[in-house]
Amino acid sequence: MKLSIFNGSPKLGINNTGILLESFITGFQETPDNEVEMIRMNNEQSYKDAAIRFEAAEAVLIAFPLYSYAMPAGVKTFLEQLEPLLGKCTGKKVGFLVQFGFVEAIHARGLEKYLEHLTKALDCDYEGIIIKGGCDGISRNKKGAKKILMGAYEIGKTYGIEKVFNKEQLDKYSAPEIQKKQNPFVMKILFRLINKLYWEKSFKKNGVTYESSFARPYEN
Amino acid sequence: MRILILNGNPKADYVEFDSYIEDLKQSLEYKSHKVKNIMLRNLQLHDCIGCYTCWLKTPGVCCFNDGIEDILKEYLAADVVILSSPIIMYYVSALLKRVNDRLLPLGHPFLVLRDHRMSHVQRYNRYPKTTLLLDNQKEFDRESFQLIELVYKKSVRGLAKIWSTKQNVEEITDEVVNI
Ligand SMILES: Cc1cc2nc3c(=O)[nH]c(=O)nc-3n(C[C@H](O)[C@H](O)[C@H](O)COP(=O)(O)O)c2cc1C
Repeated sequence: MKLSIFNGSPKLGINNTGILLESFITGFQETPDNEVEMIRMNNEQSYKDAAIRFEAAEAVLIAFPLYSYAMPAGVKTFLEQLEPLLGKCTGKKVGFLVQFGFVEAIHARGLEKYLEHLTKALDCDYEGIIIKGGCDGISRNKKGAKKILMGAYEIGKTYGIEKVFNKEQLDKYSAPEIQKKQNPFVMKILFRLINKLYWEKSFKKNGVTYESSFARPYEN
Repeated sequence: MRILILNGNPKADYVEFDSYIEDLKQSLEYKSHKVKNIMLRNLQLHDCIGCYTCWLKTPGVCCFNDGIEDILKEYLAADVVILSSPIIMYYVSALLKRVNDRLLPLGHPFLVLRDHRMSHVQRYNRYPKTTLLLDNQKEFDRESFQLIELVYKKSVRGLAKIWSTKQNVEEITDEVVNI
């Protein structure tokens, strides 16, 4: 099977989407004869080129980070290029991978509905969506993200063998849906730790103090 | 009230949309609101590239000096922001989404728990109410409305109202004061 993978991270260099995809692809290619075509989209010309590759592809995985609860603007530019293909992609398989910073899957559920609707409007077969939160740091700390990457590998492997996503596997991977079951007190302490150990450290590295990080340059 | 309209219509030949926005502006001004209308397609705005400069290096300020500053200032000064866009591929235009993404400098990286899920600390004390105005040309648009609403309702500062260009501008003008 040949899978065309579109990476829509707007970053110029290394990106979390790409790292997650690497693991997925390793799993996918465990099955002999599985082939991957990678399409990177992060500038105007690449969205146009990607639309041509999309039209020619048999099976597609569109991967990107969640930006303000939806696709990044650039990925929307790509989708707008597909307008002439509405209703004309009969038989094309299309799946998605959406990863993001917040931990809970619920952040991407609105978008999921949209992507499914769009896929059907193109008359593609909707394969499903891999949703994974908590991915902010994976390109900086691959070791710390071992579980996340292993999960992507397993999903790729299953997809490579069965040629369809396993819904149960995807749901398990996306959990938790929300944090209701967690103790809010524990969560607050955890966030304080992340703020202190991660964000404050990043400020410092850039010569920004705790106070100046709260700057309000456009206050009225 | 101060009202900011961001016109996310990418197509200059879709004049009906632009003239609807112009009518709306006049109707709002007639009721003594102070209205600013920014035509996004006339600006050369970059897409956000996720570099986090606005959080980590120059807090509150984007790495691109391409006119986004004026939009952010107008945004914060407004009581109500009307994000407006034709529906393209069942969603708001990439042009409008671009500005959505570029609002990142208005937030702060620190995490907080809000409604049982992760959220970010707000940089400013006061934010405008955000609303969406979509066109409504084709038979599929009803469903798009619901999908777009579903996504926007999840967003940090929420969505106060969603309007359609099928409504007459006086109706929206009346509703603005009550959101
Ligand atoms: C403009 C912008 C908007 C974002 N919006 C969200 C969001 O709504 N929810 C979320 O959990 N993460 C959000 N993020 C974080 C990214 O989804 C996260 O860092 C992701 O791992 C980046 O992937 P990449 O490295 O492949 O670009 C946003 C990041 C940026 C720059």
